[in-house]
Amino acid sequence: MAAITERDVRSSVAATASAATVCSPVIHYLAWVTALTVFPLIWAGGLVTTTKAGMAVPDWPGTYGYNMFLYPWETWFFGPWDLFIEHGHRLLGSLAGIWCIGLVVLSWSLRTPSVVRWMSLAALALVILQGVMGGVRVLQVDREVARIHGCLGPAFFAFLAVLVVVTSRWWQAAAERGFWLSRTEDESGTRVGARAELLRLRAAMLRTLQNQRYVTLTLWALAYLQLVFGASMRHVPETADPYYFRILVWFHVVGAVCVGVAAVILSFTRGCPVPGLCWPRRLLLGAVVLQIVLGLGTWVMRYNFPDWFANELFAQAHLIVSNDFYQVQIVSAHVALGSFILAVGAFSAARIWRAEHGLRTVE
Amino acid sequence: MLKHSLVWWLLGERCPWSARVAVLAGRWAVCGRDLVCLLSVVVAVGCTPPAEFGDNSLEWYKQERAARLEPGQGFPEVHRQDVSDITRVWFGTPDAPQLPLLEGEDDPALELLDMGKLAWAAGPVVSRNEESSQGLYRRHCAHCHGVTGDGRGPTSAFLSPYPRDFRLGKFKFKSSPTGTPPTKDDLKTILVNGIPGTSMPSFRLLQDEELDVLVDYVIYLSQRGMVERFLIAAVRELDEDARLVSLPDAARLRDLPLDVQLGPLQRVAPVGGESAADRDSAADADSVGGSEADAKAGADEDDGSESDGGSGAKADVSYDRDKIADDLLFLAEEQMLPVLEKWLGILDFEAKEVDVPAWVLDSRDAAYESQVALGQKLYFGAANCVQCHGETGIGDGQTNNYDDWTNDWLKVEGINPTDAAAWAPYVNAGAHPPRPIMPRNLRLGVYRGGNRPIDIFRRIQYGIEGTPMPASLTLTEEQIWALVAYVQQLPYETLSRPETAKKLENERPVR
Ligand code: HEC
Ligand code: HEC
Repeated sequence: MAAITERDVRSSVAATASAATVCSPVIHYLAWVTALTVFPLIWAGGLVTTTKAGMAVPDWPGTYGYNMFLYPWETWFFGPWDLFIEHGHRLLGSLAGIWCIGLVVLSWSLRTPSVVRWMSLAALALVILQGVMGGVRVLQVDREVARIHGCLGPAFFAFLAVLVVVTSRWWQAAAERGFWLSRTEDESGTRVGARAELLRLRAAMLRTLQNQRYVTLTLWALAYLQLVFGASMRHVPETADPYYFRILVWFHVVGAVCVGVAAVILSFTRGCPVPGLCWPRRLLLGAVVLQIVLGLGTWVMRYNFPDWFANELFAQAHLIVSNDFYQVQIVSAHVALGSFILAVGAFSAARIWRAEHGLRTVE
Repeated sequence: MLKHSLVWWLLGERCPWSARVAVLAGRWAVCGRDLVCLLSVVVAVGCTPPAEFGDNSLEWYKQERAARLEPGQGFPEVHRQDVSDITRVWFGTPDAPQLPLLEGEDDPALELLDMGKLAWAAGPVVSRNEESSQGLYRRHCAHCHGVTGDGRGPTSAFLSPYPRDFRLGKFKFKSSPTGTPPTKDDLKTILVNGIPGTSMPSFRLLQDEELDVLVDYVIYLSQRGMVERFLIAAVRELDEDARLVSLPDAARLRDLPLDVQLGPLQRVAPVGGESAADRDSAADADSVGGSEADAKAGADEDDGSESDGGSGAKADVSYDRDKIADDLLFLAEEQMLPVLEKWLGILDFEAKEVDVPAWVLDSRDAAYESQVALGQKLYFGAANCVQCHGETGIGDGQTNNYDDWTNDWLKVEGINPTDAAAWAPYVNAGAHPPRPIMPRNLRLGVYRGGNRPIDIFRRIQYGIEGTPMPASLTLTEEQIWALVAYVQQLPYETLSRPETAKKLENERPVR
């Protein structure tokens, strides 16, 4: 079996050189920092809604007449919970905004692929929109805006996850020949160089990747729908009819089953043809399982056990304490993990897509 | 098939198809709007309907059925409007609560309820300073108990037991006898302790002052609901073309200038609720069409204030101000005072002091064994607890009872609660589907009204209002304490009564 010829290698180097400009690692790190700021930001947003602290600061963009950044920090930090969390949410949000500005400045001043440039602009636009939406919710005292604000945040987070992938070295590498050459070794470590064999292998890999992409995207869409139902339940107007809430609950439960089924299917699309695709998928599956458990926990922490447990001591002795640590954290964790699932799903799907793309284009 | 499952989502209870469709159709009208809002994620601004006190449509339907009106033929619409207007004039709106004060600033109602506290609890959730937020009721309670206090908040349908409907004025866990409202301390205790085993949370993390505010608001909602029910019952006695207040034809009370509306009742503005009041007057201006302007212009009918839609008619209404005032005063004395007086009673109410006998607390006490034995005898004998709580105490006795909030409408036509087709119209009118109330499983050793001996003593002594659990009118305090001791040792009793233990193992009751 002939090994890979010199000509092959040369042509692959040439392919790399002619590829789009490489993204600066600084941008990639900043994208990570932004995403890592947005996750606690979303968690804090969840806490705001869980404890209904959203209206603790009646004005916007200022805080009680102060410029948001000049608000006396001791009053904020040692103040009542409502103020602490709402003002903290705003500060974190501003921080995320500042990172986004940094992303735009860096990507437009350094040599950067245009996808990244436009994506960072879009990220900035999204973060501004999200901030304004938060402000409108406060000024208009409008639950409906709060719901949209709650749905947009996680979408933004998922978008950042994609940005992290796009700016990474991996993204670059996946389009290079060298990345794929090592893939063509079989289990025993011998080279399978025959052209026919290579083609067969590639077709099989493509099929696996495609399946994984479909399932991941389906799971993502279902998870987002879940998030919309969840947000609608959390922001249900006090005047809504009980049957409206009831429909939402049922949809949310059925949706959870669907996401679970998608996760099971995903775990059956076995094979990790490419490194860097396995761990996001495992993380996604683990998060879905944990999310279902947290969802049940949320119900129990808010509304107690259902009637089936009427004769169990643990259910009858269970006392719900409004806004106590466990209630607030479990409920908010359910919210935050939902966003996390979206981000990991988007991350995973972006990588799968890139791997497919790379495999197709690399000769 | 799909239709079937959709309906099943809606009800989740076992009931025939036809009833579900009836309910679905009825509820669709109400939640259709919400669903449309859900789907229109983008243009959803303005979807949140304003918070208003809902009419007690269940009580209306119930009275219609009680009056044996033909199906589809209800009370005249103006009667509904009158009741809604009068309760609004007396009690205000969810954003601007008022109290009907017959004696102005000296009215005893102000001793019971504090207008400042009511204003603090009412209205939407907003903050005016760093320390606390307004709108405590809507922040902490309304999603279960409903803005009106009707126990029909959005989350209520799934909860068991259903959240309390305050409008009947009945409360379960209190230190006062049946028929007497709970004291403020009782209500506050519930808020601090919550009700374990149900979805009613403990609010012990709120500030003490906030709890007082919420207690006042619960009493206010309860009073409002009780008065509304009385008014609806009063309407039933009226002839079709008679009115509760002397107004011509279709004229509405709420369209008249405020001073006429209130008649002899003084209005005391809520303190500290400036913006809530502002908002209300703004809302008034929209919905009533410049009633504020009218109030200033007095009864000048030709003040030429703009007229739009329904409010346009009011300019030509000629009414007799004194007659209306007399009518309102009469109504207030007949329908409102009894309710208020009942609640005022709690100001002077002192729960009777009872000393907890030493042996109740100490099982090593010499008297303990014999008292438990006495308790057991009473349980199976004179007190007849066994009838409901069962031989083993697991609550498997009589399990086909309903609580008063359900019986209130169930009994009107003698509806069979398992016949869903029969109760569906009531559910359409705003009742929750009936669920039987289970006697407590006394083997678990946890109690909803508190675990202290004195709590259990009160439950046995006065019963649990609104539930089948009866007051022990014939038992002496001694005997009740013996029952307390017996009940309290039930969770540990298995070994001493092997046949009970066996039964326990084999037959856990299925709900
Ligand atoms: C998660 C739902 C929920 C919330 C939130 C809630 N409640 Fe309740 N509440 C209930 C349920 C359910 C019951 C009925 C318990 C029972 O019948 O044993 C109840 C009962 C009550 C009772 C009657 C107790 C008695 O002795 O009969 C009062 C008073 C009350 N709630 C006040 C409040 C107030 C005030 C708030 C807000 C600070 C509030 N509740 C918030 C669910 C809730
Ligand atoms: C007609 C039926 C009936 C009878 C008779 C009856 N109970 Fe009950 N009991 C109930 C019901 C129903 C409840 C649950 C009420 C509720 O929803 O909170 C209850 C609840 C209780 C509770 C729990 C209180 C709490 O705080 O959780 C105790 C204790 C109790 N009963 C003891 C007794 C004793 C002792 C007797 C005999 C004197 C007795 N019951 C007779 C129906 C009954």
